[in-house]
Amino acid sequence: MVLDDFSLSKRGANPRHLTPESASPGEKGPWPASPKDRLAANVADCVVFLPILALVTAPFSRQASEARLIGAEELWSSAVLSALIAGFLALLAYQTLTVILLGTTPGKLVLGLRVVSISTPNHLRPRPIEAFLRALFWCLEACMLGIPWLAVFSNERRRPMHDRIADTVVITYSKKRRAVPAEPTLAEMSLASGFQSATLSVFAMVLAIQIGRLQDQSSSFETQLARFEDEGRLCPEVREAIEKSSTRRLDSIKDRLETTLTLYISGAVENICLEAEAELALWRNQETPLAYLAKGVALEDSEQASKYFEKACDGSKNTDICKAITLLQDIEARDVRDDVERDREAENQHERDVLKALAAIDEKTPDYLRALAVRYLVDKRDDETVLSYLDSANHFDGARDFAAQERAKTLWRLNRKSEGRAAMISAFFLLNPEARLNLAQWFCRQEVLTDGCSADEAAACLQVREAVNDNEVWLHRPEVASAFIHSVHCSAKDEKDALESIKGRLPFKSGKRLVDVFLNLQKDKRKEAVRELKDLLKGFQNTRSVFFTDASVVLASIANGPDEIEAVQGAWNRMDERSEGWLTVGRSLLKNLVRLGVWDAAVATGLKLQQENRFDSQSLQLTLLAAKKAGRKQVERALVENLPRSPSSLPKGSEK
Amino acid sequence: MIFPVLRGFLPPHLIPVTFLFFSLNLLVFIFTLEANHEGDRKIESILSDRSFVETQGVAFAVMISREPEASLFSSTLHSLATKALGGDFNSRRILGNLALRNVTFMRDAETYDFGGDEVALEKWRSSFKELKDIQANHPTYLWGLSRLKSDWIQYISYQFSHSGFVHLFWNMVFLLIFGGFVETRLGGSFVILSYLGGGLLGAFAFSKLSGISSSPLVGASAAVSALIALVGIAWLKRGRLRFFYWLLPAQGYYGFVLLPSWLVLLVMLVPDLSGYLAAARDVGSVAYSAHLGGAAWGTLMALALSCGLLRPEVDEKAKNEKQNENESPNDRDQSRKAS
Repeated sequence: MVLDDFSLSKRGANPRHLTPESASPGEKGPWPASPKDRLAANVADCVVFLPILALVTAPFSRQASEARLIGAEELWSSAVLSALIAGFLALLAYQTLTVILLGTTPGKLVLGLRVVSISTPNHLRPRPIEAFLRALFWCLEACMLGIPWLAVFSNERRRPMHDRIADTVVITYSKKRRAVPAEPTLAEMSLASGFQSATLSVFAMVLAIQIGRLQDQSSSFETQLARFEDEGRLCPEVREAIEKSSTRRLDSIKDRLETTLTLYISGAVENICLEAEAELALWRNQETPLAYLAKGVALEDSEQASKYFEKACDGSKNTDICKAITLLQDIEARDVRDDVERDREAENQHERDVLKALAAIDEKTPDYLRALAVRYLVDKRDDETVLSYLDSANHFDGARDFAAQERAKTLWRLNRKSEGRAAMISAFFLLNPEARLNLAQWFCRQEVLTDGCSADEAAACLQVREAVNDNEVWLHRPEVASAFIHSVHCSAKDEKDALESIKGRLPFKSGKRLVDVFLNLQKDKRKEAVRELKDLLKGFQNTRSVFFTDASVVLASIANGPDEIEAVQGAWNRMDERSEGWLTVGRSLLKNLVRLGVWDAAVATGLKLQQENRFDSQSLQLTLLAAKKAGRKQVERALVENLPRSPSSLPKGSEK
Repeated sequence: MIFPVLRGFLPPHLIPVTFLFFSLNLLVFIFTLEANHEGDRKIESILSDRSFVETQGVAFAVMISREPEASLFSSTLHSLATKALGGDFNSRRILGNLALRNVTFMRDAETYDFGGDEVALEKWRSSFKELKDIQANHPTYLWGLSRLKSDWIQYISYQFSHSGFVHLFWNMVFLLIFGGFVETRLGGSFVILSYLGGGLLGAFAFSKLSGISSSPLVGASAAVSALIALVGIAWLKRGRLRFFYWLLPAQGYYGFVLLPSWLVLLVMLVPDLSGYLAAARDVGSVAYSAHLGGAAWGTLMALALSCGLLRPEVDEKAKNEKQNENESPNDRDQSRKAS
């Protein structure tokens, strides 16, 4: 096809012969234009109009991109809205003026199509009001993604809504490219009107949502900016903790930094919060040493972190900041101790610094240092001192949740289990649902793994069951899944099918296999259970997994023959001595070895527990018994002699 | 879709001057390709360090916040600085990248007293020095027009240097189409005058309207814009131009057509003007102001041509006849219809 001449033909401009009746094939034109030509004409119009549109909306585009850059949602919305209005008006002007001046649009012109009025006696080019009405409805239809134009297929004279409203028709004089008069079927008409209705509904819905969104943006960008200027990027957890506190203020950089540090150490906020607080203080040149400490703590790169610690503690070593750094460096050094050659002298000096730092903790010590000391001593298993730090009144102002959780756990670890359980239940009132579940799962697992199913686990395990039944998503956390299995296992004595029914809900393969073990034990299939446990333990790469601990403890408690004991010992040796799981497995193994009368192995296990400072009164009694039975007098004496030198290992008031 | 074809790609012996410019651009691109690639890689590795960009962003924010509102830095930069200093990492990253284009920052940053996080600044300073060393030997910075290098030679050399293959490809396509057309219709001297004059005026327009930044201005776009504007305006009275159109994927809705020359201005130069008006200050990688400068030069040449200040080297009548012989029968029909 060669396009028509671009110049305007007089014939096209004044089609005098068009009548509704004449728009049928077989006569000398004009004829209604074919839909294909009209579509091509619209594409050609786009080529001409898009540069104009870009020019008209350019100032608003600039406003929108600047607003987007600075994150000013409200300004962006208003700029986009202005651009849309400007674009609409430009399109309206383009459609109206071209039809008034040329009798057609440039796109139609190149396709040889004309717009003519059929209301006037001679069917001339449309009057201005007709051109305007046609353009207005054409633009409205364009806003609905042009779907109402589909009426061109269903209308007999190929007149969509805009043509019918303005009383116009698009014609061609080319016989080859005329449109055959449409003979719409009911289905076609239904489809076209269905499309139109659907588009209108979607359009109305989008409009309503957008209006709603605009109304929601109640705070203006200036307010946001002013807030940034005043308080920077403040994490909600930090805000909440400060607002709850009676002594801390939001406008104090020091209070904010200390609170965030305490929350970070207690695991309540992410490092990005701490980094943001540190950066805010640093770039405002306020509380610089504390900010350097916070930044160093927040960083994952230890080399860079040590540079921040150097900056934070480059004056007197007796400051709280330096003490915190000493503790932090000790925790970090413990993580890499196995990999590097040890400098004994430096290590001794460091140990002296650590003891000095811990000894200096008193009533005036800031919360972050106290929280750090708690973390440090929990890791060192000095639960008595931890409890003394936690018991001090009016502390952990910004992290009461943390203190309550740690207190309950510490009491339990110190064998003051009833007090621990009471502290757990009172902590439940302070904690948010997630923290409550964390504490409950810890207690549930500890109770079940240490003492088996009993009435004592009920409070914690019930909490876990309820939380999981409320929200299945929690099962994707291995600790929760493990506690849930134990909880159901303990309660399943009455309900035989309960264990079977939870298998499908568990997202972990190891968890499902653990359920199989319990099912076999329920059915008195001990051999199958042992085989399954051995397989399970062999398959684990990550010995820190809760299911590895669970499987080891279960095997340790049911092991009978030497090969089964060997399997448990193998699993225990693979575990990290500092983990809670290691202690649980060790105690369980010791108990079973004494039960079986394997005295030498029991003494070795007990001594290993003692070496790691993990002795409780029951383990001590069992090891002493084993040493006596094995005839290991020296060990027996050493155990008794060493007792006074490690008072923390024998807690006061421990339960019998 | 519509694309100006004019006389298409002509063989080198018909358009020696255009081909000379084309070859120069191509040679510069080939000879600097490896060094460009290496420099880009090194710069990319520095800029991919999150802490470098964020520290640079917050340092830039400190610099901005110390200046009064809307003086040296735009209000957009001031808003970003407020957010960056308040701990907004996204704003820091944006400012960190914008800082590289900012003349004041790039000039003073090494010795500026930012205060703040000294550890981060120490690390950033060493990377920043490395970045500046890389830029000092980077072909785009050596050939391009930037605050780092803005001697008279850069006003010429930037017209022959490109930032990447796509950039070079489209500039060369339009150079061959419009340069070839001008050379065959008006003469080689018109191509030389348009190319170099457009490039120069483009650079001046860029320095006045956008300001020479630390990010180098490169490319033959301003020179090509001059050729486009010359053709678009000079041919308003001289006749129609040949375009390729594609409206629908159906027989009869694509092909070649003769259309008025103002369409060239509409589809090729109006977008430059809207781009210039729509670009946020301090942001954007396309030098629209340089394109507009080049187009202004082309317009001046077209006006000089119509006033008789400039005369075509070739006899246009003879050329027209010769061209008509080469055109397709369809095109000839069109021309006849038009006349």
